[in-house]
Amino acid sequence: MKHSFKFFALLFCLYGASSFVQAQRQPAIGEDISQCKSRFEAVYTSPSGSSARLVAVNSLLKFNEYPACLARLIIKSQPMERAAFADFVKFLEAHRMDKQEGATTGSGGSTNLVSKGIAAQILSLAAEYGALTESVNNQVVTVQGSLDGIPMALLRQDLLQYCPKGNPTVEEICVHRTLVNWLRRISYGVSFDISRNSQSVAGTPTGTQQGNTQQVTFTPDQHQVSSVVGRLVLWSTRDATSDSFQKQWRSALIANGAGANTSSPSPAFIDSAAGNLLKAGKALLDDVGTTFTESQSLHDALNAAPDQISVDTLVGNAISDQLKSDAKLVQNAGSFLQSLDKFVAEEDAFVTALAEKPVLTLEYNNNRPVGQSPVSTFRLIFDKGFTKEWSLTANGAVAMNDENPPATVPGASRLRDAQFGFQLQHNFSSFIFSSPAALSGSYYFQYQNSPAILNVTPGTPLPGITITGLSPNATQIFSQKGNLHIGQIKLMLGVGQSTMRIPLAVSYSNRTELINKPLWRGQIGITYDFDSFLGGK
Amino acid sequence: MVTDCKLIPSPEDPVCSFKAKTGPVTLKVDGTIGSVMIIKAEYDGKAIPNLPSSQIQFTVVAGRKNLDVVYVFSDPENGAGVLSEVCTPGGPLASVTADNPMVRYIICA
Repeated sequence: MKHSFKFFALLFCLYGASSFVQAQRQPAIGEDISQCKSRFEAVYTSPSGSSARLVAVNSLLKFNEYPACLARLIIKSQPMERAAFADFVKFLEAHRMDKQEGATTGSGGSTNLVSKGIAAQILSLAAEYGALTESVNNQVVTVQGSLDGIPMALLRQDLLQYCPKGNPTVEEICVHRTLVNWLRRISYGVSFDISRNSQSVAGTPTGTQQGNTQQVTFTPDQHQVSSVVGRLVLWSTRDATSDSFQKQWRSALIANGAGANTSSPSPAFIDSAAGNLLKAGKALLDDVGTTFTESQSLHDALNAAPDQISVDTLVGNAISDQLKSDAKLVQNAGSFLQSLDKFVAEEDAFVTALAEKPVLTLEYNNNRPVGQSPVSTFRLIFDKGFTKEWSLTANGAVAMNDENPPATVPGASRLRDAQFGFQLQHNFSSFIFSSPAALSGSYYFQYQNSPAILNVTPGTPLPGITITGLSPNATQIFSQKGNLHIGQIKLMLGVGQSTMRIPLAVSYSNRTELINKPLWRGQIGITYDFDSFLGGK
Repeated sequence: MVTDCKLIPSPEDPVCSFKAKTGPVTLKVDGTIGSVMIIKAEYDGKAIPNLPSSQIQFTVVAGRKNLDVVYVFSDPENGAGVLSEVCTPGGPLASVTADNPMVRYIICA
């Protein structure tokens, strides 16, 4: 029994020792850092002293031809400080959500478009760092973006690292490619009706009238936010390999803004990131110079190195010696890796914008029209391109009143309406003045289950609506319900090489929600993409 | 007009990427996995214009000069390509990969 115990104890110790040895084995540089792999393996596998070894060593030490490997070797030798996290905390503190800069709307001389509440602060920050697009349609300003805009904006400000393969080589906060792709599926939008930027106030008498004076309680009626939208892409297609995609990628990269059609992404960020990568690469390689390539002793030692460990040790020692004599080397290597990560992130974003097309999207829209109770609409959107030029969009929706309508309104219910629409679009790569354009025809049908109900404050007119003969005590009015049929022809024009777009549209409807008469309408707007204005640092 | 080749890879040289004759040179990059283009390039510290493109043109001068290039890939994860000179008979000069988009070639003329 005693001998059996000793035997098993010995076995356990041997197993533990082998595990300890395995745990201590450092991976070869070629295994550990993918950018170094092929050149290091060529040295590992060539016999020492051979002509093949000579060529392999020459190739290995030409770090100028693969600076990504050199930078990772330098950082591996001396990890960077966690400067990024500290900077991230400072960034959040400097942009606390309870702060407001500048005058509020309604103040004399204010230049703010809207009051800076929390939402506007986030949106304006997002817009500032290129995470949003802004469009002006009639007098409605819409800012919208997708959730991937937030990590991308932080990445562009050097507050996050991008790790496409999920293996950060430095101790920093890192965002993975898969996470960014998932966040890209969720988008949001907020619309502000700038025609309603003056606050209206309603007063209600309270207390007892004293002679000619009367106490009044004032309540604001501000509806600047006209709608809030959230979208989730349920199903998308991705083509990043076909010849058609390759051609589109090349065209979009060269076109410098306008792209092959109105939906191509702007290459502004990728171009800026490439410029920064070039600058950082030059700084690193100028710093290193010919230290390794012109070191005869290092060449000789590597030519004679008998095994992989010797090769790695010689290279590691050479880099450590360089680090001791050059204080800037770590900083240059770190800057290069940051620039490299940002460049890869922009490459990914550019490809995804071209390659991924949402096919089925779920949308929630909370619409807050003037004088009406808010309405929540749940919409399913189908969008498919069939050729490079043609695409079909169809959607169906159900709209619900957020509040129970009064029982006094006949036919009113929480279910407000059901909608169906479709659009056929044709893209032109070149139209008037050689700018890209798109022509679309749309049809929209709405089944009104509940009539449109307007809230009226006695004595206070609704913007754009004049009601005569209304009882002074009326607080709610409702229209005659009926089905809506609307047809629209729209031309979306590109403007030269910019990302500005001008939509021009004409529509015909048999009625509106309030007016039971046919109506012709024209619409014009401007959309522009901040990406091209904010092309990174 | 296709010209005689001016650049030759020099693996036996410890410093130079290519040995070269002076004069105008056209380089091109072809994708072997996805598409590859040159988005930024400088020769001897001077920016090469008309980028992005799959080709660049510059004039090789005497001495040891740097050609700094940034490649862009349609497959940022696995993209690869080959850099070659537009000449007769032609032939590959260097391979390029998406995990190493910035490269400095040392051209010795």
